Amino acid sequence: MIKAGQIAKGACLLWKGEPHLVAEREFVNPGKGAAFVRVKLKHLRTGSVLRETIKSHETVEEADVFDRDAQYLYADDNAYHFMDAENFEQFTVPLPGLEDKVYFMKEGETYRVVMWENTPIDVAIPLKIVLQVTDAEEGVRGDTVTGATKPVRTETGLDVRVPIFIKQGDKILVNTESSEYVERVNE
Amino acid sequence: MKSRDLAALRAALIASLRGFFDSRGYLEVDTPLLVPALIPEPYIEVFETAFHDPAADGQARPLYLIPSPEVRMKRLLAHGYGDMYQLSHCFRNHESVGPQHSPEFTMLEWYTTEASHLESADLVDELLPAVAAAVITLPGADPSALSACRLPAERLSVAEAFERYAAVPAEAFVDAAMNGDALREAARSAGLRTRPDESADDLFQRFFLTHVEPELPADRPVILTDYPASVPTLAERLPGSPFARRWELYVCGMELANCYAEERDRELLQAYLDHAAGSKSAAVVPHPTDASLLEFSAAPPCSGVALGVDRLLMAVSGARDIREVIF
Repeated sequence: MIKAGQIAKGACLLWKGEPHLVAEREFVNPGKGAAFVRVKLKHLRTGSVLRETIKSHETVEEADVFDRDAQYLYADDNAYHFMDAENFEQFTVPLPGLEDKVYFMKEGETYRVVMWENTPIDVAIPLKIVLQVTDAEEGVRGDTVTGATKPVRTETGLDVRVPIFIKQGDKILVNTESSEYVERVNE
Repeated sequence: MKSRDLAALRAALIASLRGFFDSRGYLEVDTPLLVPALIPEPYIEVFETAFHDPAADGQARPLYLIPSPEVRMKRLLAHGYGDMYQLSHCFRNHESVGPQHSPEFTMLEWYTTEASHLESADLVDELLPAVAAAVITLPGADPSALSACRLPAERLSVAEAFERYAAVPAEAFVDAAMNGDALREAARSAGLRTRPDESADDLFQRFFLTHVEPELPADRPVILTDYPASVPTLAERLPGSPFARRWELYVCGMELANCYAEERDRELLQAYLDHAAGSKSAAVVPHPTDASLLEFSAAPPCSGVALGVDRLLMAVSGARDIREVIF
């Protein structure tokens, strides 16, 4: 247990029995009443956001959250299957709520899996990742208007709008929060 | 922005504040920062230091850094010094350092005699545009923030703000200000988790900070009036109502100033001191009470405003952190 006044941005709290990340924290003391800490809490699994104001003397419970590196093996209807990078133990991360992550995970790659009370609850996806274009139509000849785009499909099944010069087999950098094209990657 | 530009902006801002009050006949005072006793404030912690007095064989005597210049200025008001202002460094302990909080900060405090708290609000409507005009050509100034400062403050009562931003009917709030159960009910229906052991004052504050303050407009100043009198302060009570003659000013979404119609009734001053000194018994840094506050019953009717100068500088420069504007 810690005092609310000690809550740091980036900490993990057990709030109403559920693990939350402290996305924002602000100390408020108007001087005419008790001091408070205003926080924005993001549910570690569902991503839903709560705004709470807690008296700075009140105690809050920290959530026992840590990351482990693991290799992504495959997904089935219920879960993502991983293998721990250190002890090679296989484990699963339940799929519900994390369905969209499938578009940002490549089999065989290593990811950080978020553990709460020794249970895997989430997969941390980097903000930007490289994906190979597996399905792209040729850009229409003469269509050189700046900013013109076309849809392509990537190796994970993610559909992205890209500039027309992108060809099948190209590697592109994609923002995983917005699912938007960032740039072409030359290797 | 270059730090030196901000320092120059700070100098110009302070000069414009002085010019504003000097030209209106306010006396500038400069009262001590280090005092042996203070007005107790239940929610403010102070800094203590020690004076080693050679006349007393070097024995240490505690002295305190002021959390606001109020105590000495009120003494001068009681002695008939009239309208006055002060630019003072102030010190508050036990507050997290953050974007809007620094343990040492600069406060502008001014008192207008024979004026109500609403007349002090009128003066704010002159002060902010005057300050904006004085600094607008400087490289450190932020044009969009300055344009917000040039509009007259929107005035609304705390009850109206709860109605507008938290959908609490104003009538319910009038009840709530008198009655913790009604406030609890309103908080619950707004989706705020409530606790049976929470005082009505704490609940009011938490409700306000969660659902009202973050929604206040940032494109113009806002003056919130008529706070519940149940929160103990030295503001006069609005007769026949549960509210106090008090307002708070928000600029760019930041709490920038507060104002009271100053309580002068000797019995009520004594009651405040008794209550506040009692609740200070659990303070991290206890301090003796300056009972000279009782002399304030001899002062003329007046209204006092305390304004955070560093935060005003943040507002006119667009700085996001108070540490950028303190040098």
